[in-house]
Amino acid sequence: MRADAIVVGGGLHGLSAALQLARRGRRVLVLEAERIAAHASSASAGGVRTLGRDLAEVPIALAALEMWREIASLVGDDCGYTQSGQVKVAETETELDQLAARVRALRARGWEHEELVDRDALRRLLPALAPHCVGGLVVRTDGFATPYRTALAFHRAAVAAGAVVREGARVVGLERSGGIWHVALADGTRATAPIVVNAAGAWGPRVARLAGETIPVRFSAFMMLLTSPLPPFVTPVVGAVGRPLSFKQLASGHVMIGGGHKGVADLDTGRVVLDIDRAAYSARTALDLFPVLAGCALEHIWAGIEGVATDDLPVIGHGRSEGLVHAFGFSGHGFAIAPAVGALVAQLALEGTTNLPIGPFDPARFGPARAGTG
Amino acid sequence: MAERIVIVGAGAAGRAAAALLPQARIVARPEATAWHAEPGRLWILERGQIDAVPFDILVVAAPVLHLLLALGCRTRAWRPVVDACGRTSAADVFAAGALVGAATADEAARQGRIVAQAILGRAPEGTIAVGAPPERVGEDDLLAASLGVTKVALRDGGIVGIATAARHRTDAEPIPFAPATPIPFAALAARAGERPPPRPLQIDEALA
Ligand SMILES: Cc1cc2nc3c(=O)[nH]c(=O)nc-3n(C[C@H](O)[C@H](O)[C@H](O)COP(=O)(O)OP(=O)(O)OC[C@H]3O[C@@H](n4cnc5c(N)ncnc54)[C@H](O)[C@@H]3O)c2cc1C
Repeated sequence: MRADAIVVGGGLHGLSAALQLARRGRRVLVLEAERIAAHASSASAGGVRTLGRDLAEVPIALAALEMWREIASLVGDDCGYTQSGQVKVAETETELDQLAARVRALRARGWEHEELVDRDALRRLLPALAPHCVGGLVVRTDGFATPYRTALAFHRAAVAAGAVVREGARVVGLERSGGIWHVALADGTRATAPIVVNAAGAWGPRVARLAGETIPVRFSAFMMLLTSPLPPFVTPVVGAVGRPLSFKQLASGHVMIGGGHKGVADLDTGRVVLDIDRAAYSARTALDLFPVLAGCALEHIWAGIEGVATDDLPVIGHGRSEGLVHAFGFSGHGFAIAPAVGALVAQLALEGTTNLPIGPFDPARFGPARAGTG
Repeated sequence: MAERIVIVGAGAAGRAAAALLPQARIVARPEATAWHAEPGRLWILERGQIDAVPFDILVVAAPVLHLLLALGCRTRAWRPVVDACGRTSAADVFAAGALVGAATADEAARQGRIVAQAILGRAPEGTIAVGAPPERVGEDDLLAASLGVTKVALRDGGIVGIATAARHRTDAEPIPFAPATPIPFAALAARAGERPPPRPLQIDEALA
């Protein structure tokens, strides 16, 4: 098939880019090696968070939040999006001081969305929180969505807009000649297009390498824990300043706990090995903050493979090769910004520039590094 | 033999294997529940405590497909893929009994013996053939049972995504995540020691 753009990777980012390109009237072909959202996009916790973002990501996160609030008008499904708010909890005065400094830094740039709350206000937001917590940071308009449902909604919307999505289509070669990318697939077939979008998640550096580019983004297997259903006790998504944690209760009563502890991923097989001792530490943290968990069961643990950059920022921008746009390595927080990043990728691919600053995400920022250094 | 052999299950298959492998450690309900496995380590819940049991050879002789899934063993139609002596796609992991489709206790015991003989390096008396797929109570029941989770967790608990992605993979491929079955939350938390240092980011050796 001759397309106007080929998107490599059928995770949420590939599908979001495909939707935006297709809505702009382009013939889009998405090539997904396995299944739609087989990796990070289905394993995700689905947190929609502007809270605590790196300052470089704030404009995109705020733009994305506007899109989440109207997500059904974008993809025809509400994606389970719930405006629950998100809270980052300080367990000590020192941590609270850090949060206050953060708010000042945001205010200095004109951003008002994060709000510092004292002990009493925190208690009102989180009555079940352990009493030692001294305050926190809140974004009341943040929330969360259901990851796999979201990916399927973007898939349907992209297809409805004319995109063609092929599963079981692993890209193994990228060659540019005559102003056209010749894309080779593992099954021996080929596809061509003037534009290629690399949305291959943790495998993004491998796809970049097919085009002769070295982008030293690393990867991790982020772990998640899920408890048995409990009566409702917490509304916002909760994080902590001093310990890796992301904590939320779903409408079903299940509590989903994640936030940073990692297992071991294998890019060749796409498999993960859990790290039970680190999962135990996540459980300990959650229990310290929410004693109500004492009697519940742990129903499941899983991990998903995500590309992570050493500076914890995504790779979004033009490659060195003409007609190549990279959008991968979302470093554990790419779900929230996916609706907006798809639009940025479409702008990059079709207009060459974007309406939001993406300089800090430049694929070349790691320097002319050799792979394995960076 | 210096090898640490661990047998999961004390039904007909597990008992028959254990009879030939007296040095093996047996992990069986109700005393101990095997709830997760990783290469070389079986995770158990015993007297309310979480523990890791190291193994060189693991015999899964209980209906706990999720242990094999967690170990990356190949499955087909909700059964492990095994060779004639019960060896799974992981060289150090064997399966026998109802999990493989044995319909009777006699057949399960026969399979347990064959697995033990293979582990001992003796010529097995007979071969193991994978039985018919489990009765289709419904895909979701099978999926939940195989992953060791409740159906509610599957449907409403947000793991429907990975589960569905897993279900849609070709049958014979290992699923891309490592399942674990329900255990008391506080028991896992109690295992936590000092805050572990963050794991370093992984580097893609293929690009080095
Ligand atoms: C456990 C976990 C929890 C998370 N929680 C949150 C959260 O709360 N909030 C948040 O904002 N973010 C969160 N994230 C991050 C977020 O989920 C990811 O940033 C996002 O899903 C990445 O989407 P993606 O499309 O880039 O990658 P993926 O979904 O991994 O998609 C990449 C796809 O590319 C395919 N592919 C790879 N190589 C090839 C090839 N050669 N040819 C064709 N296809 C190929 C893969 O099969 C894969 O399907 C979490 C991530 C994980 C793992």
